[in-house]
Amino acid sequence: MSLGWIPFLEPMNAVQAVWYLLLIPMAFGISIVYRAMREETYLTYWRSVVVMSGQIILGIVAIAIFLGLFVQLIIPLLSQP
Amino acid sequence: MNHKQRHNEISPNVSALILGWIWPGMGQLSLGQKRRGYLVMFGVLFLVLCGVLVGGIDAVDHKQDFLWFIAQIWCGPIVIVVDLLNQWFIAPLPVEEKATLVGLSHANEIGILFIAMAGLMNFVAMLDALQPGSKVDLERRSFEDRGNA
Repeated sequence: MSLGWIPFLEPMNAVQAVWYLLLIPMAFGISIVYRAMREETYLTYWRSVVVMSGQIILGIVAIAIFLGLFVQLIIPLLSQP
Repeated sequence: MNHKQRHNEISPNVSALILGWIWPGMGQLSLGQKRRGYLVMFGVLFLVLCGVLVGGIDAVDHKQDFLWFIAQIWCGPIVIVVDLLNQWFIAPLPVEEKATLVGLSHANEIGILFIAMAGLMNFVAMLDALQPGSKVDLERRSFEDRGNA
């Protein structure tokens, strides 16, 4: 429960079950900094931030799916006698 | 003017590098790139605040998580202050009192990761301030608009 939680002093234990959703703000923050250095014009800046955030999220989801399949399917096949 | 010629004209700016470490985005601001500087500042501070919010101030700990601290330190003095707060207020507490203040499992991992990513992105911003790829700030108009004006 988050009752009595003191922000910034105590960890946010309420996110333990949905920790993977924190990938979204992390990708957003990384994209804000990176695109600020790369973009030439402010007109396309926020669109580029959204696109890059999406690319990071999709990339990590793809890696997670690949590793999940590898561990669940490939490794059991390799370990068979 | 090609990219190589433009790069040679820009000399390394060490003061911008140091300012960028002291406060995220200040390197770009010192070069007159206001919009770029404020966006870098917003992005890095957003990541640091999210990290401390999720992991608590225990997310920065140079004694327990030294390797992570090497990545986090690039955020500058702000991370050193969080580490000092952790060492002063949380580390000396007995285990029973510390239990609710120390992040465990995912909250701790993600909090540490957020601040480490902020540090690494600020390191990139510092290198950008040292030898900026572009002398100009983010333009409000596109190149086509300027051509038509």
